[in-house]
Amino acid sequence: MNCADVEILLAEYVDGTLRGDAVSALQAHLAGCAACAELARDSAQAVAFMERAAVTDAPPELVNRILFEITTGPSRAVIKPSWVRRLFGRWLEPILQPRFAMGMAMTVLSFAIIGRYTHVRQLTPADLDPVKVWTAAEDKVVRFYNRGVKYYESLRVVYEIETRLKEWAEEQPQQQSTQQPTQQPTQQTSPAGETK
Amino acid sequence: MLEEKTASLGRTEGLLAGREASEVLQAALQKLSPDLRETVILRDLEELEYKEISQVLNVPEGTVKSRLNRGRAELGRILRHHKGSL
Repeated sequence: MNCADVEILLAEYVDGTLRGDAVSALQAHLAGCAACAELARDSAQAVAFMERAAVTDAPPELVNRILFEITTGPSRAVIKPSWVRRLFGRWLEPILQPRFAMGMAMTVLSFAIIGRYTHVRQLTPADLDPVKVWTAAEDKVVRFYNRGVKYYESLRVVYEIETRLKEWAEEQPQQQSTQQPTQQPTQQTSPAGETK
Repeated sequence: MLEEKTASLGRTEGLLAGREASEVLQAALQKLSPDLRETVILRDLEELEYKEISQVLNVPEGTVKSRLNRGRAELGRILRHHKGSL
């Protein structure tokens, strides 16, 4: 095994998902290669630190990229773009914290990913019903039972945004003439402008 | 060998957890290049599989793993320096 092989296998090794002969081969290489051993140590330290850290906000550019993927990329066949724009376009204004936007984006994204494998129907407003989101969350927790706590927490964020979305949707008709400045789409058009 | 070093890190960082750790992590993530940062976030914080990440970012799975290694290692270095400055 050489250093290039390590670069590919190390991620799984640090994750603890590498199996078979590859593990001993990689360990043998690490024992004799200071550079790779340092890479492995730094990598393991970072992972250990992240496991202890609380849920972290995703950077705005990642949210943008995911939204681009689901509206313009290959997932477009699975997700109906009009619904994405209608449901998310308004809410991705600065009034929405990147953290909440991320939760929403991940909900849609998981639909896109699941849909690609199972050919489920398109995402509909009913799927964003908090109860359904919550039920789906429970399924995911079982699937990722060993990392359940963190996943559960991030989905709780999704639940919160769903609830807020619903509240805002109900308030919209009554506030047509008295909208707050931050809700005017023309003032700030990119969520990237809001970092915290 | 790896386990030993991870364990020793756990001891030295024993006091840094929860909110404080989250803030340190956020600051450290900001120092990564966007490519590495989003890969690390999707894998280690959003818990996506390699295949899912490769679909989201539209890059081969090998690239995902390579970026993940570089991103994690860079993050580990940044965190170590941060601790040194504490």
